Amino acid sequence: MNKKLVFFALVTLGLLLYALNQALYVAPTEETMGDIQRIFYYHVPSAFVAFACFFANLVASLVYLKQRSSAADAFALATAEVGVVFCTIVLITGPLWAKPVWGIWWTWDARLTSTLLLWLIYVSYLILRRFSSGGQTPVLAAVLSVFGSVDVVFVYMSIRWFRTQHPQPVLGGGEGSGLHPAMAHALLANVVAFFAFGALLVWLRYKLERSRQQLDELHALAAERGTN
Amino acid sequence: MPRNLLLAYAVTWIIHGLYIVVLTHKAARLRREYEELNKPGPGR
Repeated sequence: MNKKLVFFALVTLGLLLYALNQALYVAPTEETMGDIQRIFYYHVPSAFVAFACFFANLVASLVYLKQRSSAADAFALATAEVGVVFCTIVLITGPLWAKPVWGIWWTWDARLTSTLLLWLIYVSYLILRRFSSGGQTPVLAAVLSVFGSVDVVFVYMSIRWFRTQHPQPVLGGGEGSGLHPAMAHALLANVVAFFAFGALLVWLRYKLERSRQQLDELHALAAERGTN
Repeated sequence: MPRNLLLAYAVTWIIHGLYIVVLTHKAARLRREYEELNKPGPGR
């Protein structure tokens, strides 16, 4: 395995352990919710990484549509897959936090519903890529990604545009929003660690997809030699 | 610590762990396919 990758993996592991300690032991306990609020330090960074992955997927898809570059296609697939993994975590940690705080696991408000829709869109994207055959699959997937990315904006803005059960933004939510400095530090540590981990997963998945593309080319070449 | 907090953290790492297992499995399958493709044929 390449040395850079191993080094990056070790740095990421260190960041994740530091961030876990910050989230569980260093950040102060929130007054009204108590310790359950610490889910915030995993829920929010996972959402940020999912958004970043879906945005990267949009950029890679646009590059693919313009240049038909197989590297852009591989990157689009890697970011969509990792985005779905993080979005799944958001959809599981959210209800685990909601039940003790709101008294319900789920409600069909704008933020929660649009997040579920976002997950379904990118799962459809992955299913399309997995089961559709033929040369047009990457093009169809890229077009789906362009339309799907609109929901990322909707999910992000939903708590600003609508009255939702989901809390209003804690960061950048205008007057009255904000975090205790120790909580902000724990959040930042987790955001950095989760971004590093997300980047590591995208890197690994991208390398795998590039290898698969090369293998497909070799298979095609071997088949061509066989017929000539 | 509240049960749901532990569950949330555990589920997060179980999902990431499973994804890493899937990636490892994919990598092993690709390696096998490469080896099969590079295996000399009976006539060579």
